Amino acid sequence: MHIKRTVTMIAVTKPQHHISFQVRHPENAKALIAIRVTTTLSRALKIGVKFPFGGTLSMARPDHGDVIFSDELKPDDNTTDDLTTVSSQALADNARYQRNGTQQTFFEVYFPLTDAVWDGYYEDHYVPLGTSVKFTPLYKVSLYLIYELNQQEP
Amino acid sequence: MSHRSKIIKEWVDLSVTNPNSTVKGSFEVDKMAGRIIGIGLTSNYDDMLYFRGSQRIAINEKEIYPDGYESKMLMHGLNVPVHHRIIRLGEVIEPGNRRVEIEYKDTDHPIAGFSPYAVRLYVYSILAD
Repeated sequence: MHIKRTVTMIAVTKPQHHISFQVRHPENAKALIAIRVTTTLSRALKIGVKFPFGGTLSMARPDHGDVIFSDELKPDDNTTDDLTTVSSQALADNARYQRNGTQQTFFEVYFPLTDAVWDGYYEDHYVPLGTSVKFTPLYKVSLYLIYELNQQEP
Repeated sequence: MSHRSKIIKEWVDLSVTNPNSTVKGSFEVDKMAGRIIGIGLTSNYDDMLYFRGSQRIAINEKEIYPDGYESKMLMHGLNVPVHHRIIRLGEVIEPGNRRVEIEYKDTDHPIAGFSPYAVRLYVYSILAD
């Protein structure tokens, strides 16, 4: 099996930022086989806020009109409670998503690709708590996708 | 019965001496390597690598990890058993010209202030029959 990895980066630049984007699949991709979402958002960026914010990233297939993947992101401080939760409607029954110790692993799926482009959407969950709370205006969300290819790239 | 490992473990070291810089490194895998099975990334300052690092990695001129791939995706914590500390590539990678290249990029992060640090890329191969 030949595979290809891609990274799509999204910049969040304001509170409650809603971002629509497109995920363009490689031309010779047969299926999407794994998904992972990470963020550079840290609790240290939000001084004075006692509960974590984050956001939700979703992907939808335009020809089906349904959201097939969504992931609720929490700040990542590289501590043991930084486990990313999943609220996924993945179609694959055997999909799994976990950390093996502290090794980052992927959410394993199998989506045969019939579209060249999927729709993506990210929503920042910032909740204002008063004027004393300052939002750090920039963090990055990275969407990692692994594809199975029809043939090896030249 | 032989208990000798058939895995070859090699590495290349990079020194990151300036913030927001890109450092390149390369080496050639052993001539006895039949296929490459995985990689791993470590540093003398894990927080630097975790928060500030990203890289592109190519083997035999094939891009395995694209530009912007965060280093934290290729790291292991102490509670991962030593013999599990391999990021499997998920496909058969022939050594080809045996050249492994890494372009490591350091990027500012608010909770990991810069100080010079080292990065090591491990490459794991299986001995050829």
